Amino acid sequence: MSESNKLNTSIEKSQKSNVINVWDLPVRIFHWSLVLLFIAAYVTNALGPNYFKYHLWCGYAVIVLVGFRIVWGLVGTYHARFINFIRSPVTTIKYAVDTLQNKEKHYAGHNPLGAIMVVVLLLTILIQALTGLFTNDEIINVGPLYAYISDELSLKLTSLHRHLFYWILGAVVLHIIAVLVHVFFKRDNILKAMFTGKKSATGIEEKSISSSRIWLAVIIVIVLALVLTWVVIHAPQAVITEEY
Amino acid sequence: MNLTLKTLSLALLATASVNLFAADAAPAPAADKSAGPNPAKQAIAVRKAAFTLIGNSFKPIGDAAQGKADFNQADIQKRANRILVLSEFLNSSFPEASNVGEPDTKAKADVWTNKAEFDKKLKDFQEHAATLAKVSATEKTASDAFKDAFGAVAKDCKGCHESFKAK
Repeated sequence: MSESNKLNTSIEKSQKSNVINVWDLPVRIFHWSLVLLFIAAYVTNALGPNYFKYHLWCGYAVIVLVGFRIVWGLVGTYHARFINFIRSPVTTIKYAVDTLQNKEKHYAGHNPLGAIMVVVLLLTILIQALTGLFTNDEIINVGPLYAYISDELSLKLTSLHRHLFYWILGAVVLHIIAVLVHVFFKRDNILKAMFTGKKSATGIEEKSISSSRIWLAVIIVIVLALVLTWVVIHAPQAVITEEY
Repeated sequence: MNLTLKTLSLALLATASVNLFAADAAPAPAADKSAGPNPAKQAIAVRKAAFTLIGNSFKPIGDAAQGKADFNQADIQKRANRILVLSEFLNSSFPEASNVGEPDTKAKADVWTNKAEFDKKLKDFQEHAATLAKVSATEKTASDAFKDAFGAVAKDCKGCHESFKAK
């Protein structure tokens, strides 16, 4: 009795007690750097073969970032972990139906539909960056791991790399539309939350995270970057054209 | 220059005929040779040969421009001139009849349905190839002028591939 009284007074007293930490700093940095890198990768490709070097750098950074996010989905903070936001198909379908009638359950972290988008974007962007390592532009540039595979397979992966971009772009557009729907129609500013990491809690069971575990995140990123560097450095140099 | 052109044409013809034979070799019954070679097949073989040689000539220029190889002016100039000459073969190697699609050719139907755009891109390429040849005649190092001239041609390759080459 006194417990619930206390809770009520604290809610009345200040809005602040209602605010919980949801997105840790590494998740937020990951999200916005991925946005910038996605744009930079597009631009450096559009600028032409002379800018290939920078396109490659974008790709390396994306591999490290997405690799980090996947590891973070296993060992990161509460709302970053896959197990805490990937729901069963039944729950997901129910959420989808409910959300159309504006009576869906609120989640502090990713909602069940958003969870699908997270997984789709992570996987497709990872595939996009990894296939890029094996490409051949049939002009002057090849990916750093091109020499490991046959010419035929390389051209197939190049084709995949070209087409998958448009699918990812479609998913990104859908993602942005969903965010805007939340911000403007559901009065839930999840866009701001991706900057501040904070959300107002709608139910007492929702968990606030106590720390961003930044050092763990830094270690994961460094290890992934070292592994990628080692792989790229040890790849054989491809000779594309004989000297005639 | 004339000599280069002659050598190139010979090389091109040789490559083209090798391609022709390769294409005809498999199920060749008693074909009627009196009508001359199949013009579509010949056009495809000529342009493929031209593209192969353009690509081969361009790659070492790219290596020099990107700092992966030393800048050897004589070599760069020779290759740039070759590309310019080879690019002329493309003017006449895309006749209507050679719109046969894959696997014989990766030229998309857009080459013929959007001829104006294709011709414009080809013309851009030839102009930039001319600039590259001119610049490589004077530049002694992998200068910015050289890199820009190279970059313009590389962008033409890419732009045309994106619109007109099946991938």
